[in-house]
Amino acid sequence: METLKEWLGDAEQRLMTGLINRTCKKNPKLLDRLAMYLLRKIAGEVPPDPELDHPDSG
Amino acid sequence: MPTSTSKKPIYSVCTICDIGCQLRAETENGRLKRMIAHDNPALARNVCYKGTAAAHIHNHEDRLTKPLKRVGERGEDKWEEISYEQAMDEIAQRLKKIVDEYGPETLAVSTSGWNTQTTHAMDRRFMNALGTPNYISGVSLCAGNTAAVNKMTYGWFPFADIANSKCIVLFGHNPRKHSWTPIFNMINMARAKGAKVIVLDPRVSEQAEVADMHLRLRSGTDAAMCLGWLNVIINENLYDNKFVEEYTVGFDELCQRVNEYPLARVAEITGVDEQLIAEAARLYAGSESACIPWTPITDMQISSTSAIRLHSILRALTGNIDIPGGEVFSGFDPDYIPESKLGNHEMLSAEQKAKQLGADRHPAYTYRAQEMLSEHTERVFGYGYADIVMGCYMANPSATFRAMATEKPYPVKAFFALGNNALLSYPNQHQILKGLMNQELIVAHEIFMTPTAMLADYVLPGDVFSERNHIADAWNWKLGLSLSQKAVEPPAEASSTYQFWRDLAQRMGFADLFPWENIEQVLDYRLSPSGKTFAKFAEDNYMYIQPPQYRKYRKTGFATPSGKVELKSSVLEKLGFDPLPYYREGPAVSEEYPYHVFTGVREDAFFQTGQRQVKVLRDRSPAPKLFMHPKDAARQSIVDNDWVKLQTKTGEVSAKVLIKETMKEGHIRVPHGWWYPEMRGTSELAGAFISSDAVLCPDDPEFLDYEQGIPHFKGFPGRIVKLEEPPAGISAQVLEG
Repeated sequence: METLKEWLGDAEQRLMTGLINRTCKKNPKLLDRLAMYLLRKIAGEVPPDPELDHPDSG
Repeated sequence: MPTSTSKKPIYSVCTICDIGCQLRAETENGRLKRMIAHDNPALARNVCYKGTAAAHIHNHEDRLTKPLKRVGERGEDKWEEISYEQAMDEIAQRLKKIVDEYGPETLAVSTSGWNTQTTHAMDRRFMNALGTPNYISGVSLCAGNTAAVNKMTYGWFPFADIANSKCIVLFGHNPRKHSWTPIFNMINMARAKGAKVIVLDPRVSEQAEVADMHLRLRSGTDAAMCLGWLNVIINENLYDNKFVEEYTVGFDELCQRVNEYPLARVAEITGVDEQLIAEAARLYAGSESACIPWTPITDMQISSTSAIRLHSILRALTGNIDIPGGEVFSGFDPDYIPESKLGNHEMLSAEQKAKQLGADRHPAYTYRAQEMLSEHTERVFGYGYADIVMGCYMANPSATFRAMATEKPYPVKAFFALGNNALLSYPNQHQILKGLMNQELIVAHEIFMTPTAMLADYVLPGDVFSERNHIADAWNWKLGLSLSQKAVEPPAEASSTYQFWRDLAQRMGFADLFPWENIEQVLDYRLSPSGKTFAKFAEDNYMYIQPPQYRKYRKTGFATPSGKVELKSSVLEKLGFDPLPYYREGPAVSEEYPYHVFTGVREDAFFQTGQRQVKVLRDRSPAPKLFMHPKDAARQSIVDNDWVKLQTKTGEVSAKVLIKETMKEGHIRVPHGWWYPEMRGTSELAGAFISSDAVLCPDDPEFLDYEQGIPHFKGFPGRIVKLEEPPAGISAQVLEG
């Protein structure tokens, strides 16, 4: 028997997965763009990382 | 000349290591220009400097581009270029002759989807059609074996939901910024939300430095530590009583076994204070959710089967099964036909399966043990063969190389290595060489010439991930399909392993089993349950994850003979092993061999035996370094950068020393997979026997885990001898690095 706490926890994960899926679309519609906006808020911007650069990479 | 650059983003799944980060490719004039981080903020941190070195690897001047046929003695490294068609014709002709003489089981194949990426289980499909069960892989020492042993306890190999966990337990595992990067990022995400991290590692690793608790156990004692935790969890009633009562079998017997390991005994074995062990167990059991992510360390010990099972048992007793933040049982992806099915394991007869090398003594990940689960896997997951991370139906590598060398219990006379530098990848490198030298046919499929390929009769040039389309599914370990798009054409006659198996199958009379002309057709077929083609998938998304479902066992039960979590394993019992977990002491150190040596350690710049010829990576790690504690080094008058020999009863390696306070006294850490591409032509097999850790670890029966036949890579005895001179022929970069 599923408890309310379990249901809420599971629902949160399903919601997050749905949100991520929307951000992975190549031709995003309005709701997909909104999802990306939310994701950027959650994940934050990723600054450039000089450790990833190699001497002669472009 | 006008420059042509890619306009639309090209999404890639990196295969330089095994973690599968999603990246973006940029091309210019038909060449890969660079590989950069993803533009999705959820994926953008999942990139390391190996991934961004992809262009340096894929465009490397030493890439193999034409099929090669041996013209000198085996291992002499003398070749003639031939056409792909000629190579495939000759390979098929010679394989037929060998099979006619010795039987189909005479072919052994060493490979892994981790490295070759787009095989789509066609290796197993071909082998099953031919009639050989002798598939070996590095995953027998790393993740694949864990998958097989996990299935014995609860029918699947779950993936830890690290990012949502409240407590993360790392048994020797050390995910960091440039190794296992996505795992590192998930740990950081969880930590930012308040998760506690417990590290169990002899060293003060990067993860240990920032952990909430660090238990510096003696290497190779994971099983004893887990038994200690269970002792606390059971005797302090910290376990999930309801879950245990409803969903497990064997609890009473487990309690008896656990009581044989009071904390005082566990403290003595592991070298960790009793109070600290108890506190860690309480933190783990008391967390709202907790996970013990897979670790390569527990995979490679003399009590490996028990230790892996103990991880599973801890997960079950604390109710962390199939919940958010715990360990998630994905099952097969309903939208994508799994490799488990494509492998066609039903096709191989029982008679041939019984010939799988090593299955008699060490059956855990062979057909013999895993088929005991088939009807239960089918009941719960809808299909009987769950070959999760390719690790569930393998022959034992040591038994295979022994058969290759000695022709006992039967001759193995043909050996294929695809994306796999087998000589340096398994224990007892001397025996592997002996086995390879006793072959009538060796085929290597590689992107660079390796010591193993130098021993081959034919070397076929492989493609790389920027040169082919793919949809990655993490080999059924977790849900999620990730797009990898072809960015550029492969050079000259380089091609995929899929193409190799299909072309060989056609020549061997199995063409009807390989109806797909190319990888895109395979992908169309695999996506057919979703109603999409590869082109449509690629047009719509770069990733799609099925909505998660939790606690599925409440409806289906577990895919074990009892339908429950088997704390006492009925499969192990039937096979004649102890059905309860236990601790077995590894080989003891002595006055002659005073150090605990642990090998198989990954360095950020490389994956396994690869990339030593890639300048931008080699510059970051020019030479192999043994780590020693300052007191051990002082006792032997060794200073940083001294050359030493590390000797065991099995072999010796030369390397430089790096003295580190973070090492545990009496322990030596050896990096994995070193050879010297720059020594090709001047040193036998490009220095494959100078610094390779595969020569060190014995694989005699007394050094092997009973159930799987896993060698004890984590804590075998060795000694250090200071060298007056570095090994002959070593390059200036190594000397200075």
